[in-house]
Amino acid sequence: MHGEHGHEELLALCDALLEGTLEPGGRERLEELVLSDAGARKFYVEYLQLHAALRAQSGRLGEESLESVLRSVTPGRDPRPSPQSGLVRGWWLRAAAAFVLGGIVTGSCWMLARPAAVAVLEETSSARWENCTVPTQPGARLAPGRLQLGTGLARLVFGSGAELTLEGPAELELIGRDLCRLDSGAAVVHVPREARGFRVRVPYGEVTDLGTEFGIRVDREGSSAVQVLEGRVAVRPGKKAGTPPMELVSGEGGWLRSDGFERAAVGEGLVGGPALSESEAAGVLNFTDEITTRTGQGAASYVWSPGTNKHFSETLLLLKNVRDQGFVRKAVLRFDLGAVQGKELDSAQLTLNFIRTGFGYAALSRDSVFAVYGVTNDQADGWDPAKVSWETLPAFSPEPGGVDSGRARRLGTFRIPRGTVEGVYTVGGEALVDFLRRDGNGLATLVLVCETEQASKESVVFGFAGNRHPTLAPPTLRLRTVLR
Amino acid sequence: MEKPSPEEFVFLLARHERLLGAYVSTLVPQPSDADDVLQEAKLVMWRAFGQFQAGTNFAAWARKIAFHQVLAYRKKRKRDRLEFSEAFLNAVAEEIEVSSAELEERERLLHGCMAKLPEEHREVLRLRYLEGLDLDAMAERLGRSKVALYRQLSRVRHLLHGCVTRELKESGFGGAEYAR
Repeated sequence: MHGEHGHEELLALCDALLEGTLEPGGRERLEELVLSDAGARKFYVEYLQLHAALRAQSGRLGEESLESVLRSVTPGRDPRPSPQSGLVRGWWLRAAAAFVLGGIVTGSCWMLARPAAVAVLEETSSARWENCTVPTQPGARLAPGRLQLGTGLARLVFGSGAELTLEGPAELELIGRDLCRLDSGAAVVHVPREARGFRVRVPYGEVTDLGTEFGIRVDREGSSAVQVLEGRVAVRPGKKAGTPPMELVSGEGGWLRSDGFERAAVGEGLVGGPALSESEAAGVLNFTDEITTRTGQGAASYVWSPGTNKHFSETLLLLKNVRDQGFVRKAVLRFDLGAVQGKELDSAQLTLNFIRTGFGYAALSRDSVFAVYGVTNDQADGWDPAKVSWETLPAFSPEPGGVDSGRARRLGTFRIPRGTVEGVYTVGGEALVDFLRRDGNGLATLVLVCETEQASKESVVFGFAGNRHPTLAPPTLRLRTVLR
Repeated sequence: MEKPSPEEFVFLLARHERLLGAYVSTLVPQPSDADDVLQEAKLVMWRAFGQFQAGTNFAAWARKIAFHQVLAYRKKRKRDRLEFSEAFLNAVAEEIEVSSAELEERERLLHGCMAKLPEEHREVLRLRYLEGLDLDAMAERLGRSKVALYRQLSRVRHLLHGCVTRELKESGFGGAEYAR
């Protein structure tokens, strides 16, 4: 109905509306067009919804509001030692809200991934991610970048249609729609007919799938075990290697090493490879339960000293120890031990994902020791993550690098070398197990402080992933229990 | 009919929240106002959730509530000459109702279209939508004129709209003749 002219006018009016420059006269004209012409109505709705979709992606729309909706009508926000019926509803709602909010926050990363996506993270199973440069939420579209999978499985579908299931611990670099590089760990690659030619680079060569399925495992030395499960693959050793490319078919396999490719017998992976070392196996297999600060009545927050007026984070828990008032920060975690109650605790490990905050200078910082304290008084477990403050911190002490030792036990420490601002740190051992065993109310509160006093207030602010971090796991307790 | 549980509410809202936000934004283009209306609407939905019949169309139910909130909001602000007329709001709301499935599909296709944009266009989208800058702040950041950025944003949105419309046709969805 409308010609090009009408369309342009409508577009101009819509743009003015979206950018807040629409005059009253323009609004009247816009109404007139939209009310009189079905095509214009359709365009208006589509155009404004597009704008809204772009805006919603930013995570601003609706991020806080759901939580406040729930907050304003849910009785009893504070978790107490023994949950009553109304309270149970309260905490799962919070857990659900955290889940919902988490999802929305995660959705906001798409625009940061500037290059086009090369793969989609289809699903994960017991996945624990470490340092990744791309989102790790199932369903995420992945631009070229790096994935580091600590444990568990993750299935990716590349743009070409090739499917790769990564088995942690593993490091994978996403390069293109039909190309990736496996630096360590194992993967099974399934390549449908249309995706033939999918390539996996490994330290000493490259494997091209000619259809349909192969397994590959890169060991610590960089040698790769290649095994064709079904179909055919081409193996190309690196240029310096002494052996030519060759093709393998179903049931065949071999080793790709610095000196070339060597066939080997297959079955349950390749024969001749090193078994997982004892410690590696223990790290992967030992734990029976995993509890995060997002589980149940779990919570994670941080507090700052009076006078702190800049550098806060929604997604990170911040830590700093410096003489100057107004720059100190400590973190507090609560774990809901409900899932392991009635079971005998055998071992425990706390994992924290440290990440760059962008606040302060690492160059002005020292090697830093961090201490984890367990708050011994069960009555102190009811703190509210939204309200906890410097002086209401469980086992509060005015010391910038400590807690009230009469009310908390030092469970362990870890050290972050100067200049390191990313990584995974763990604390485990008897003290932690003993502390958790003594818990009487199903909730455990831990306080985390930086013990090392920094020389300058301009030193780096340390941050680790909290409950709302879009990609990194929140503080996590891994436990091994045995039935009593 | 079984009474729906609060768990269902969180689940349903999470699934439909984004589209509901888009719905409200289409009727109330000023971002801060849209946020207020959406917030109010969610509260009303939560309170009225006992009346929602499990298994029926949650999105439609939620839109109905949101629409009432838009009207209530408009009443509060009726002295403002920039507010749309009720006739306009009704027409737009009806259009959304009629094409809700298609709009949902359009939102899904948007990601793919954004991936195809050249870097310079992504950059302005990022600043405008992800960082939430207004034209003044963008002009300062990029050292470009407001007029040029205004034009570019318009162009990018128009490109995206055209791309989504094309993809929609290819995916077999009908309609969308107007904007080529």
